[in-house]
Amino acid sequence: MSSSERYMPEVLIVGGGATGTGIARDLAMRGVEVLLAEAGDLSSGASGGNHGMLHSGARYAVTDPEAARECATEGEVLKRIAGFCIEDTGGLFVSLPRDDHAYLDRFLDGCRGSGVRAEEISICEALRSEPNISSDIAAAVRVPDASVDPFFLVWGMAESAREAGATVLTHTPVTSLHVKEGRIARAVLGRGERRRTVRPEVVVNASGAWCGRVAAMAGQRIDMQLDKGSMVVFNGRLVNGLVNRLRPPADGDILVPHRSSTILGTTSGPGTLEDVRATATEVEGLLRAATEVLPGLSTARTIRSYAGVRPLLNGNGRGRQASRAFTVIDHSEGGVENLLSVAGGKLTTCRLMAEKASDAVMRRLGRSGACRTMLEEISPPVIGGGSFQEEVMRRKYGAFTGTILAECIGSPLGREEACSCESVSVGELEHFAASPDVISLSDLMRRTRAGMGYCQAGLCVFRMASALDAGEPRREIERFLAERWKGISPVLRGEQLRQEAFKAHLFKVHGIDHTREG
Amino acid sequence: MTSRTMDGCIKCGACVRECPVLLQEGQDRFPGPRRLAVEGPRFNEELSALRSPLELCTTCARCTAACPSALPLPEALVQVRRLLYREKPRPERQENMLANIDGTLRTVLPSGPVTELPSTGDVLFFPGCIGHGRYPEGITSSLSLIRAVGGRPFAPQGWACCGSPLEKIGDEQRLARLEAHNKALFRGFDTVVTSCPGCTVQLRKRYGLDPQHIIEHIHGSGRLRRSSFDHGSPPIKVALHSPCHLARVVGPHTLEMARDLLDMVPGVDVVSTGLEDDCCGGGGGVASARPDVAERMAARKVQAAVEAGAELLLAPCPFCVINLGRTGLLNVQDLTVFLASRLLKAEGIYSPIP
Ligand SMILES: Cc1cc2nc3c(=O)[nH]c(=O)nc-3n(C[C@H](O)[C@H](O)[C@H](O)COP(=O)(O)OP(=O)(O)OC[C@H]3O[C@@H](n4cnc5c(N)ncnc54)[C@H](O)[C@@H]3O)c2cc1C
Repeated sequence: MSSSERYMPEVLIVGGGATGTGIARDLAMRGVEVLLAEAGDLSSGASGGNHGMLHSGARYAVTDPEAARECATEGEVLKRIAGFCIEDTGGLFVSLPRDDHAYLDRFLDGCRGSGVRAEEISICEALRSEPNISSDIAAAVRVPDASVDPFFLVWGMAESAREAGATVLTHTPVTSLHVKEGRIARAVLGRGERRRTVRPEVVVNASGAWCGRVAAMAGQRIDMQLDKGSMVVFNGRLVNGLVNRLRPPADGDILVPHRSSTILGTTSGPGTLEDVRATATEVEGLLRAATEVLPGLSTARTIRSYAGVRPLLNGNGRGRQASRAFTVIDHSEGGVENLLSVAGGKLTTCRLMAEKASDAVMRRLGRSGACRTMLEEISPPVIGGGSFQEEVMRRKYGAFTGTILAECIGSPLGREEACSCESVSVGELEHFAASPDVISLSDLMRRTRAGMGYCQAGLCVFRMASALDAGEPRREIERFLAERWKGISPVLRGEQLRQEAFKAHLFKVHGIDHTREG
Repeated sequence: MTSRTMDGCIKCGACVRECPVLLQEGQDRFPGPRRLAVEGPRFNEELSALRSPLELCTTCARCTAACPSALPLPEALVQVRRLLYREKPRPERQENMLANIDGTLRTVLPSGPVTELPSTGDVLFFPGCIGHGRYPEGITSSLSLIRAVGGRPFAPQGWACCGSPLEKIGDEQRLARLEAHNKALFRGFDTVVTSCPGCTVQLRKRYGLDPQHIIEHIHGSGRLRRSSFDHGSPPIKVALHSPCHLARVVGPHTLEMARDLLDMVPGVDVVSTGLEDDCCGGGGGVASARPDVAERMAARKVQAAVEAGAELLLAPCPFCVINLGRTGLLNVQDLTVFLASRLLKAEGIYSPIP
């Protein structure tokens, strides 16, 4: 879209994570003209740096019943409307002999109280469904946890919002909000040639961990803290469903099977907005804790680590004690009548957050229109025959597969495999590279999963670069590999060490050192 | 958990470049060992879409030979088959094979007269289903060769299939049944001679025996020499096929032994085809699941032998002989049949298979 085009949205949404895209979808489906501006790519914030659990609510059943209740209902709603990016694997909570036994009853009570379907099962049954966990476990509870791919959820919501008429702009930061007579009169988005001004009636601040900064542009203060969480990615599926430690939430409690990998998390500690990464010490701590439940973990192949930052609203406790429930802040009390900030919450509750925020926007606009987001599917899961490549595509893109498939299958080159770890074809890369949303290799990776597998872009990076056709491919490749390396270096051991040594040889031919950051 | 194979890959691509089925059939039909044994099994339900390409692996183990980490790719692949075939019907010809096993304990029902085996002696010879039911000349020749080096071959009554084909297609239950049956028969013997490399490998891996392939047995005896063979036979140009399970699993020394033995036979000129090491396409259940693929693979090899001027193609494996023979482009014989036919004093040797 060219910058000369005029946008006259009723509502400006700041932030393209789960919350922002959820709100864009909700409002657009209610017939509101919305413009979403995202500073980077979709899911470049916490939505792309989380654990990928579709919470049943069980994890919060004891400590945070309100969040538990929200997760319990919303988890089921998302399974219904976003089945294409959810693997409904179910989950187990297991305790070890040294864990506090009294916690089991509190846990079951908490689940009952918050409407979380939890069922205690025998040790035998638990070991049957998860043969790799420690046979020492003392108790086991089955819960309806699931695994969700946040990249595809957010992308799906953005596409669904667009279909309903929303404009979604990525790589378009909101740079200033101009307040005049108690309301935001105009907002400036984009930089340089792409800079433009809009005059929305309402601004929704859905910028997650950045919400304090964005609110400050309008002279508003949000009292919040940043809490970092780190995760480790293992090659392949080490568990059949989610495995949680049955104890008060602590580090390294949860294993999530995620597509072709397993993700272990998380930690909790003070965070910053820049340079968010996991450290080798956090990785060690996570491994130590989780090996107690899954002994084989100590020799399993770690392929990378990553981290995300949670915005936690103050007055809600610190770190793990802070509530995971969300808040819609109406800034009219602070003197800006058309600014709403949405903060806190979970990926799991993003639809509900969007509904509540959109209700508030509708009131502010003085318009009516009921929420329809829980009725209409973003994309149904599409199942059915075909090659492995097609099957993998369907499980990524759901109903959006049709068009992409038509392009891929059209030519033998399109079908050719670009990333074999994740079975991504050249056609998929080209399809997404043609989107105005995609300007970097990281964007292309988030759309297709190319480069996310165990060789960490060792083989596909050149294919990706040629599909993207970026101005300075070499610089872009180096930038992308440096970002990968940030996640790899803390887990550099065993097989991954051999992998990276091999890659170093491959890249040397091209004069690239993939182990150098920036 | 993930297997050593799934975790040990560094994506050097050696297995992909070396896989003969991939080379022959192309990536679309057969994505190769890395996809099937390493990358694919990392996924969840997507894996079921690999069912049909999984049928095309001949378990030739060339990938393992090429892998810098020596990952046991064929074994890992067979493991995936096992997972996917649980309670699902198999290709028709494999179902037939299973029915045969249930009825007779052997994979094939004899298609003609069989070679009778003595039930007493001092060398336990395990005939194997293919030799017994489809290639009796191969049994006869093996018996002659064992006798020529001074042994008295015999086979236990009621022997069952060694289980190799069941393992390749991932049928654990029947496999265990056959093994228990055979183990009782083998009790008291630690040397077993086989003519089929598939059996040799299976007896070594699963029975705790020290089996010898017939080539090892007769070469190792040291009793065959140039004077053992008929000097009056007409000169002949032959090509030698290297059976995967013999050369790669039993050991490369077997091929040297085979060449040594051929060198002893007067008038034999061994021509080189350049494709000696390539899989014939018959192993791993491919011949029964996808005979078209097995035949295409065989044709490529046979064609190369014809072009090299060979009048006869020899393979020290009855299974390879039958698969290579499918093409009808060239006479194919088990090496033992050829050697036995050139022995000075031979008994019961017949002409090559039709
Ligand atoms: C370690 C960790 C693990 C988690 N695990 C889970 C889990 O397993 N399950 C679960 O349900 N939830 C989980 N969560 C919570 C979940 O990730 C978040 O609740 C959710 O992603 C928040 O989405 P969001 O859209 O509000 O924020 P974000 O995804 O952070 O989106 C905010 C966006 O705003 C953009 N932005 C910032 N400033 C500007 C600007 N000036 N102009 C334009 N755009 C701007 C940013 O680039 C960013 O993309 C986890 C969180 C963390 C940190």
